[in-house]
Amino acid sequence: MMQAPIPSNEKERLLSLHTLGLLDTNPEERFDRITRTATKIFHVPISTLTLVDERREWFKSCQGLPNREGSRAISFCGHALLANEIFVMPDTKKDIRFFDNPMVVGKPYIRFYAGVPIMNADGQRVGVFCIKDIEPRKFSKADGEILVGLAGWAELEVNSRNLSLALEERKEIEQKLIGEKTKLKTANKKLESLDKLKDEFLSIASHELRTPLTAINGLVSMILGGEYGEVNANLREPLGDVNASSERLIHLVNDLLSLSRIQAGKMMYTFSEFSIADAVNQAVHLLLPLSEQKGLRLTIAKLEPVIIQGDSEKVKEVLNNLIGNSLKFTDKGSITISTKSEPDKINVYITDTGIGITKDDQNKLFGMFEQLESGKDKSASTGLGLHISREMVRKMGGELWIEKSETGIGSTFAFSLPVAKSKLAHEIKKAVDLTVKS
Amino acid sequence: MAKALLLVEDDKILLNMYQKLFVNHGYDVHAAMDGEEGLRKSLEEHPDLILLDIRMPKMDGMTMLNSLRQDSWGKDAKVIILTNLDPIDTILQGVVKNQPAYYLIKATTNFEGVLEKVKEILETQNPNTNTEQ
Repeated sequence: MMQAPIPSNEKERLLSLHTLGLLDTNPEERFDRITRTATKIFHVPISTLTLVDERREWFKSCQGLPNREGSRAISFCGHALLANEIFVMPDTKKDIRFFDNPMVVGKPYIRFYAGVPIMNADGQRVGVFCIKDIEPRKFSKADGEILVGLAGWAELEVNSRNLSLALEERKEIEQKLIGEKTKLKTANKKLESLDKLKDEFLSIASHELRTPLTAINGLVSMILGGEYGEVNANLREPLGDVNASSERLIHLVNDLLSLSRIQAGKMMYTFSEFSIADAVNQAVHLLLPLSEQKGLRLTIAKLEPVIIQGDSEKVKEVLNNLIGNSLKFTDKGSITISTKSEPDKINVYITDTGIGITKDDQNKLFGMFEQLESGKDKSASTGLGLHISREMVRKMGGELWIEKSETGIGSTFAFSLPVAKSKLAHEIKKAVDLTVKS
Repeated sequence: MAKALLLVEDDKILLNMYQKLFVNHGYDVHAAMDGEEGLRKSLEEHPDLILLDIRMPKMDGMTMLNSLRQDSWGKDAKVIILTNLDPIDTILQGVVKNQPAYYLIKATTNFEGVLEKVKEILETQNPNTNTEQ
């Protein structure tokens, strides 16, 4: 007798068989109906759907045999497992491999066998679909085709278990994904509410910080303004310092608020068309007292009444910041404002005769909280002003830059803003450009 | 006769400060320390101008202003919102646009600025008052 051979890829084959999850499970009608059909078509007493395990053949479905398993070594299916398409043994007694097989010479006295290998979805041979008879038989090509057809059906059923498992797995993954999605949504909502909380906090903190500052600043101003009676002369200077400090604190709070709004993308702009000349005049008017106090000339050299597009309050803030910086870093001489009309935009220049900025410092200028070497001995500022100004100008479609700066000679800062789109604005711009040329 | 101002402000120090300022400049100053009191005094005393804070206990300034505008006298009452809340912050969005009131930020408006604004508003004639005359 020849024992059933072991395939070369036995390990992988067994792994594949076991992943099917069919071994040692209960009989199922979906398989039994195939073996039943086979016995009826071929008029044979025995038909099995066999799974070939490491040491045994195990019948997922079985007609005509009392046991559900047998030894692999003496099994016919062990041979059929490796057949090309079909393994047919018309008379077992006439084949050297089987004539003395215990199942031939003893129960159930098998004389005929025909089996077709069954593959798993991954291509591994996991079992055999077969018919057996106790009489020798002729097996025609047509018979073979029918058996292969039935085996194909069985193979589909074997793999449908696979498919349903895959489907189940997919469902599980989908469920997990839905769970993750819900978690993300919840996390997102939490973040949104945190963001809102932060905004509210900032709004309230600004209020709470500003209230005592308003009191300090207001009271000292009123004292200095004589609202509480005459002020002792030697108190004027320290009281003035208290005022300057509280003003600085107010600016700091305002800057921090602006910065947080810019970073959160929540700075709001109310766009309108207005004359850049008006904005410059108003900003200069506001800062004239300060320049006079420092003995500096604050002058407007050339002002073209070009209508621009932007948020007029923000433009005034930018001007206030740039002129304010010049005033701060200039001890003698002048600060001069001028404009230059260019195609589709207007440039505004603020030139001072101040301390100037070194090349190194120019690179740091627009960073946040940068204190420059050149301005070290000047009263500290937050270093946020230029950063905020540039962000605001950019949001209005312009740019802000250092035109030139030299230590000991002075600096020129510049920013541009787009000309308004209206017809009137363009006509005014044209007229301005003509005047400039002539 | 001196013009009557109603200051609605919950911060005692600021209230005293503004009170002193307006008394010095010849106004008849009345005070309320929350929105409820502010609304009651507005409707009882019919001041010439109300200076109104926003964040206050019991009733905030916006709620008080809304209630005031429901009243036949209050709908045309002159109001300056005098607060430290930025108009671009959530609570006030739309309010400055929709409410016929003036808006000043305390921290960035010096006392001369507040005085000036008060004087300016008291001098402007209410259009509705004109038609009544």
